[in-house]
Amino acid sequence: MKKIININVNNTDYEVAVKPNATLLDLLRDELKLTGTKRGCDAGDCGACTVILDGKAVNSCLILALEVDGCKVETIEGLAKGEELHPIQRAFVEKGAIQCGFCTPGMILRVKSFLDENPNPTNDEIKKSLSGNLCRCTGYQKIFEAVETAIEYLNGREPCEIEYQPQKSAMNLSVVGKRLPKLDAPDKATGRALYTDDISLPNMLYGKALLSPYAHAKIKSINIEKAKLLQGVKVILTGADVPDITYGTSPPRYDENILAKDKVRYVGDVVAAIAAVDEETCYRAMELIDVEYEELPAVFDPNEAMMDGAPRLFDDKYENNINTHVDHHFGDIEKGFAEADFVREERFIGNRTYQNPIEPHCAIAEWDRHGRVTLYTSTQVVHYVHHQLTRILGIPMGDIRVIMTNVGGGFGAKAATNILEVLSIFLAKIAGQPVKMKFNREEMYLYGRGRHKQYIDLKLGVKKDGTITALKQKVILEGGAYSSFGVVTTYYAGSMHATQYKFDNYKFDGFRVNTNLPPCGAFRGHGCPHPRFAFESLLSMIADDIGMDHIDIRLKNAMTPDYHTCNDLDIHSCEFKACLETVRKKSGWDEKKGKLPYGRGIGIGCGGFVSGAGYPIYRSQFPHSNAIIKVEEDGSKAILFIGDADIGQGSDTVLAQAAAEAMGITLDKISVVSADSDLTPIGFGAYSSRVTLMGGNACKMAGDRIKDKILLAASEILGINKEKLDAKENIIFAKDNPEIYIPWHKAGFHYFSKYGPLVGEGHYSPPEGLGGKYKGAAVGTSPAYSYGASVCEVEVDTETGKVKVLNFWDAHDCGTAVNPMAVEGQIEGAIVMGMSETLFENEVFNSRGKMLNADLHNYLIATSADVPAMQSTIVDSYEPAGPYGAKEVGEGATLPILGAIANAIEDAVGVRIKELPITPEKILKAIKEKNVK
Amino acid sequence: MFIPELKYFKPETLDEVYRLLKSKENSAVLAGGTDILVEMKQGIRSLNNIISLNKIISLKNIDTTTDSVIIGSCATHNQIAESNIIKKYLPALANAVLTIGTHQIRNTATIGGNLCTCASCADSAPILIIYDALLEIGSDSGKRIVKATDFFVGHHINALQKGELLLNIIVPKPAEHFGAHFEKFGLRESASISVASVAAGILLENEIIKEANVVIGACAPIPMKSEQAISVLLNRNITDLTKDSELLKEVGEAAAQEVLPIDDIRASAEYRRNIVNVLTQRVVLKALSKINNIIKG
Repeated sequence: MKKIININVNNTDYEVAVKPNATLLDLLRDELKLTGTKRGCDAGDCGACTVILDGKAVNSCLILALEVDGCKVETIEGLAKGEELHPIQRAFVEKGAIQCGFCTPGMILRVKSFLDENPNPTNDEIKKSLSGNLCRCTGYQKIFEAVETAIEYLNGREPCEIEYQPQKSAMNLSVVGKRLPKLDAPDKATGRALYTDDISLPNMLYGKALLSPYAHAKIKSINIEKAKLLQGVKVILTGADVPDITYGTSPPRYDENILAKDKVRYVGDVVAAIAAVDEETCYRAMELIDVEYEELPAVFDPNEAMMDGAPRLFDDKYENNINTHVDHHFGDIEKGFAEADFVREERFIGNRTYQNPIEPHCAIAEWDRHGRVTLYTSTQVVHYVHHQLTRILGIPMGDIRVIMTNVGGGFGAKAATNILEVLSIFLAKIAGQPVKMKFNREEMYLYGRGRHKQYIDLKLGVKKDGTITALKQKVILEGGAYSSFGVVTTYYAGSMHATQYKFDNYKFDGFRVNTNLPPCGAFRGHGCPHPRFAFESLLSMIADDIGMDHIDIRLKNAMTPDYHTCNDLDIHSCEFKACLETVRKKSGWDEKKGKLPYGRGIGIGCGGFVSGAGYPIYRSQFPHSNAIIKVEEDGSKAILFIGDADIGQGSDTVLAQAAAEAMGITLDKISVVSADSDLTPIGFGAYSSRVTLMGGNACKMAGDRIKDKILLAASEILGINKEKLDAKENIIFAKDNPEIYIPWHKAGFHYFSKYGPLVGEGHYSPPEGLGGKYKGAAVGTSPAYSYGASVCEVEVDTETGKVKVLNFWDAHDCGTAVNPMAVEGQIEGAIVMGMSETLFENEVFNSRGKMLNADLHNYLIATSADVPAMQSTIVDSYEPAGPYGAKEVGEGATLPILGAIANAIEDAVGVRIKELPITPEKILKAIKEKNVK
Repeated sequence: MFIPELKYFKPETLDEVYRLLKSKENSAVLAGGTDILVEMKQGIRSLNNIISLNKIISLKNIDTTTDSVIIGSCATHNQIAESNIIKKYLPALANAVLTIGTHQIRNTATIGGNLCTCASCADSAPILIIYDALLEIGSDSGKRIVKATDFFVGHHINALQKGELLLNIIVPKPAEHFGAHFEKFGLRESASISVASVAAGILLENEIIKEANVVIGACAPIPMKSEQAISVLLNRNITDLTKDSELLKEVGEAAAQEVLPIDDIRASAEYRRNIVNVLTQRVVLKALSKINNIIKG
């Protein structure tokens, strides 16, 4: 029975009827349609739903709507005065404090309530105050800066401008290389940006998937009769109702059913799907579906799963549950170790971690009367979803439209077609009504696709002077139940060692093994962070063995430009040594290393990544990124249509900068439409750190073509030869006499009037023939590689083992930084995420394969209070293959972090932890063992 | 993740609350709701009737009498932390409640909720025991008072009988030379669940410990008094109780040996004992330093 309450929201009085079980969050989002307040975890852990209730910040997901009768609520929608942003919103936009934007409304409201109570806080108070609002993108640093700036604005002061030294390669550019706020930031700061769950279509149903409670079981029968009779249930689908086709991510290993056919392989495997009038009815119907299971023996440890006689997940493939096996040998490993003066071998073990974007996955499917389906989804890969759907549905691409809404973070969790996308389409088809499906936080973990836990045996040989002579690595990857990205992950686990340091002799054995756990996939740094952790740890250990400084040994072996690696990868630009020298200097390495008091230490880690994979995940000859620019008929604005996906990292802005630079206009003269399969030409999406380089090149080419056309129009107006004209900052001028010019838009107007649409297209394909000829040679290829080095300083509580990360000095070679503020945001986000994975994160399962910490309460991620001081430097670099010299930053910046922390801990307390996460318990145990010795 | 259908009552008097508690089967009172709503969403608890305490204003008060501080069970953690009364008389409680949850949670969650949920890791419990808190419980047949130590019966089991409601927490004003402190050990800097926690209270008479109390949280089903640690401390001279002193180590060791920790996803039992040892030493010293401040001040 609904009850009437009176509530004042943003100074408007409402009299609304609410159900007793509705929360304030439900009321705001569902009844009042104030969707700026976000649902992140629904359990009071993430703070995305923060609103101000009678002056106090609260989690609206944990307050019954009936409790707020007579109260005053402020939501993000009430903060700006018309178009004028609130000073906090303005500061968030200007300082780059917004990436995916999903935590932003809650974060801004928390800042407001905090500054209302404490107008002049200390930096430490700011840091602590925001710890109830989790952000997975920014690393919190830019948020702190925004709060400091907001304080200035609120006190009527103008914040002092910081002078930034531009990179050499950006000196003569006017849009690229500038610290510009993201184009979507104002919408995200005001709650206007729409994420999939913010969309409600008329007559829309809600769907839920029924998940397996067993890790491994035969489905003997499914009875849906009782569930069907429940009022409000519209459709129920089981394995028998959907096509037999399998799908997945890696084409040679499409092994997932749409719904379980005859058996389930992990707790969370998808058994049935329901569409009903609301989510609550779906949940109640799920309880009425009667599935008879016959439990089968399950296996959770990959080392056990590989043994003869272990339970098999697939009877017809993957012998001994080995899903992928890589056997690589470059150079001569025996000879390499024979040449070494010192050899050391150690075992390292990674952890099973989950991306945890703050926005849960969500999809809405709607069919029209012409047999065409539109899917709104939170994805990193619109066009890969498009491709996969055409396979699954058996209808042409032209009958499927995939639209990416704003995406609240991905980090790999949304890098493939997911079950919500597929099931919502099937449910909507039968129901004849649109269907929305979303995961709750627990379902996100269960659906998985997080980081593979890796067991790494690493053996390294060096000469007395530190020169690496041989590297041998054996890796067993815990894959979970299905393949997902795992084939690629396995190759990546080996291939990227050879791009960081120079060595000729390399042996790599990789085994990806299926277990009855949620499938593992691609997570920031894809397959590389654990091997990198192992290598950076072992390199420092062996440096100690030969009495060499940790940075010196890295400089000795560091990659240099224009190098062909032992596994046939071609390095072009490479400023790795500059990164090492930078962090050495900035961190005060030489004064600190080995000289800090017991309990305090400093360590180095390095890493880098591909700037986009040389070959696409699904086989096609299409260019990897494609762009179209259409200039309005009056020349006032250029619209960029790009298939690549802005999932918060800021690619819309960065790509617009590249296009605007090429066209000779300013960023305010360009608008972006991205990731809509009807409107934008194919772009493979946001994974493998590919968008800046690949999308950027496509946009630059499209912009160059526009420029060519507009110079033609200008030459006709000015009567000057086209070759003698140039365009910059909305002006077309004579190169030899800038006094002669016309505004850009006038030339655009002229062009359209005379020649019709002013359109430019661009595309990018990586150079042909990248990589070697051996099996798996494609993985690791890229047009360009990023490099980075990080020095970390920690303090270890020697009595409890608890680590406090004090400082990070990072230097990154990302070529030309198209937007240095966005690059810093990526680096800071990577540092904090990497730190969080190294110290806190781990999925834990019980003996029957059920995850024990599938929430944000027990699976800990870093809060604002954990953040170290961070100082990042973008070194001078120019990548010829990239647009204006640019290459990647997003994933490469994660890689140095794990090893840097492990090395710093070793320096602080003299113990080497080789298993992630590095918990206080492991450190204390090691300290005690050392003291006994 | 949804809250099942329920009936919601918002009584305006305590008598009405008692009547509802007695007459409604499968019911619970709602204070801040930060535990109960999560449990309902997760399906851990299913309740037909929710009795909101929102309108019972008297339960939100923090007040003093000549001898005691009276904290209404519906006072929120932030309200307690910011209260001048609490800061003056029970400063260690003000600090302890600030370690609970996040700022947003503390704006909603109540001290009564923290106690009644009765989790082994409830962070307000150990320090209230140190302060010798009494819990005032009401029902339609009158009021009764139980000691905080007697309120905790088991993990998620409290001493309330059907029809009863926790009304107030009555804390005697500490004596002049009394000092108390609480610390918890969590795995991140903020918003973490206690791996272990320790509260200590010490009453001095001319540098001699006349009364001592040490309570450990999250290392047994309920907050646990460490009788061993207490007996080590009693009648000792504080000049012997310095950092790294043998006496202090003995106190820590005693507490560590006495607790009954378990292995769980946060830590092993063995590690918890380590933490209890270290925290106990630190907390005892801190509690002492609070007295010194009082003496000096």
